[in-house]
Amino acid sequence: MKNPFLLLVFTAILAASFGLGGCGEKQRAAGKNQIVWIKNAYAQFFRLGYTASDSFLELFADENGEKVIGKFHWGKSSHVSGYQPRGSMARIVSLSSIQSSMLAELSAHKTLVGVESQKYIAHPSLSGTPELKRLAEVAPDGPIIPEKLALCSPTIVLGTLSSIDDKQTIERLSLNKFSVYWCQNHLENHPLGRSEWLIALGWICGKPTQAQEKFNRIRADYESLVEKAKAIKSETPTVITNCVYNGIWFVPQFSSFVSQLIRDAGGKPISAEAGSGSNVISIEKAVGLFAQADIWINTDLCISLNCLRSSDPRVAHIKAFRQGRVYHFNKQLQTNGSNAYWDMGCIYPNRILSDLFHIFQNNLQSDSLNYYDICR
Amino acid sequence: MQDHKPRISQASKVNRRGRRPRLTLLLLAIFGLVIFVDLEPFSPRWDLPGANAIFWDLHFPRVMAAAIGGIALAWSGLMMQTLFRNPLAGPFLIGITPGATFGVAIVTYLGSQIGLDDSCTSFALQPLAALGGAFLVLSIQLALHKKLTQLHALLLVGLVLGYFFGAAVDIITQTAQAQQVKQFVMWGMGGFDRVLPSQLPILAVSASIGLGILLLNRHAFNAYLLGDIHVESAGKSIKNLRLWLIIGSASMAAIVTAYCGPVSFVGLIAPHISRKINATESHGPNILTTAFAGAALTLTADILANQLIANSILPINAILSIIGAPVVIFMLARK
Repeated sequence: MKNPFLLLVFTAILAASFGLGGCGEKQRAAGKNQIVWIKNAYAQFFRLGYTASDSFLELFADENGEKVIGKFHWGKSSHVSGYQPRGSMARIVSLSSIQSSMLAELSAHKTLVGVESQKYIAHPSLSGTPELKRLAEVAPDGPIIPEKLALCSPTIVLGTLSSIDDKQTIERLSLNKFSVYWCQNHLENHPLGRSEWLIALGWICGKPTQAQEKFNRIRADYESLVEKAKAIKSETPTVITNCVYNGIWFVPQFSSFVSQLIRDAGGKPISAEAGSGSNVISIEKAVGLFAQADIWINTDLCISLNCLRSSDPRVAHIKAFRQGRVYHFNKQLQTNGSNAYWDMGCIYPNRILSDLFHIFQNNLQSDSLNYYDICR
Repeated sequence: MQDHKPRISQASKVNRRGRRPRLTLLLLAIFGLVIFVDLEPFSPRWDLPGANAIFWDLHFPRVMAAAIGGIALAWSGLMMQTLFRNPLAGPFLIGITPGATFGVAIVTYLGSQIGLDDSCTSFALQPLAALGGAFLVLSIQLALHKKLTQLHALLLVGLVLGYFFGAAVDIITQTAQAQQVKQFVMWGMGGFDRVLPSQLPILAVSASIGLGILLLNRHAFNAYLLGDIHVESAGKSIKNLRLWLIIGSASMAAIVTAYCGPVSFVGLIAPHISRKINATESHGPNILTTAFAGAALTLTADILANQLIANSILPINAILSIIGAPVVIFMLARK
């Protein structure tokens, strides 16, 4: 080829075709290994993904998923950059009664070797059984006892970020010994978001289909109840929650777990401001706002009208108190302190919703309530 | 009886004589303003039926508790600063607050374990427990005050008791459940919302006892500030005088702490503000102005705690500390 210009053009075409060919291969490779993330229905503090060969789980500290607090993978690949291996399922320590009960719900509790405290677990497969008694208690009185956790020789620890001290203890002990999953399910604002963690735990313990089916049933039941509540044309009852602590009242905000349940059950939470936390108001403001409330639920420490009166006699200004429409979730409160509302209620929010629906409709046959009872 | 008044220079007296009435009037005006503002209902639903009853049952007792509590704490602070001849003395220093806190911790955490069958009992028993804890400390102080002739020993006993009860509370807290911790923390934040109308007379009686002790012994307290020898020369017993000071200051602090929770800074600052206005340490003129300063402080803090953030309430102690700390530093710097 005598023309240098033609030579240059030919070389350029050749280089470009090689380049594109290589690039095409990379894209295909990336496409093959690209993680497909599953969109959760309600949960905001985790996400699950998969490739042809692996499963992935990311855990978040915030509801926007901006702060990642755990990235795990398992499957055929021995190493995936940025993700740590799931860890063996042989010995699990669960530091929350909700996670323990979720494992029991998925019949995966045989892998448990330790729990936070035996007394808070209300799941029927564990509560009061020899199975529960064999489990080590690593934080029976609050903070984690490092020696007890180490003696469990866990391969996986399911923890929550509720205590900085506990976080530091766990991280110190975990170095190259076990995987730690920070499960923030207690921060999910939507009741079904908390329940959806069943799927995350189902994936971790190798029972994804069972977990998905269970959640689907719970979700369908919950959503049908919401529709039923919406269809009722009668006047929406106004609802208040919590009780007074030394002249101070915690009022849940609009997006909080309790406010969501009240709205879904056909009630109207009073003074629910924007946000997912709670407002702290004085008893004077509270009584001013709540004076005409129809129903009072979740009375916290008090499970009787006498107790509420003792905490502050001025609650007698509240209509719900005067009319005796005060309810608390103590129906399944055990003498050891466990209460199915807290762990089973997280798994089955449809049952809590059903209780509230019946309370709001004043339809209180003896067996209609799962967790709630009237305060007398 | 000879009138013992801590002296200040003649020039200083002349300079300050002119502004003293103006400052006292200003303090009175502030007191009047804050009590008027605080009494103004702010709840959004005062148009509802029964709002009048809510006002008398909730709003009025809160404002009155803030005013009486502020006065009692201010007089308690004045008496403690006299007792120890120390401008930094307060209820914490002689162990009253830690004693009350210990009493509340006992009923909050251990109520169910010592046979109290319902968690509600702890709500009702909290003021009594706080009173019990505070008077336990007071009894120890009274038992020891005859043996401990040195003031610093009495002070040291108070501090040691504070550490002792603080440690006991830490141990109890360690074994507590989350709800109990919440309840205890709420009590520790202090506040006047929790005071019931039926408890107002108790606060008023305690303040009246304090006022009686101050009025009857004001000349002797002036002499005491100048030194033991001045008390003896006036024919008074040092031990009896200290006994009155301990009983008066501790009982007022104990009763306010029992019903309102620990309320900080008022007892420390109010006497300083009063002395600044009156330009004297003499108890006579300081009794009234200390009371107005104490009440103005608690009422202002109460207004701010309730009004600063809409639909929320701030801890009264945090407000008082935020107001109090710069005031103390400013006053010390000006001295």
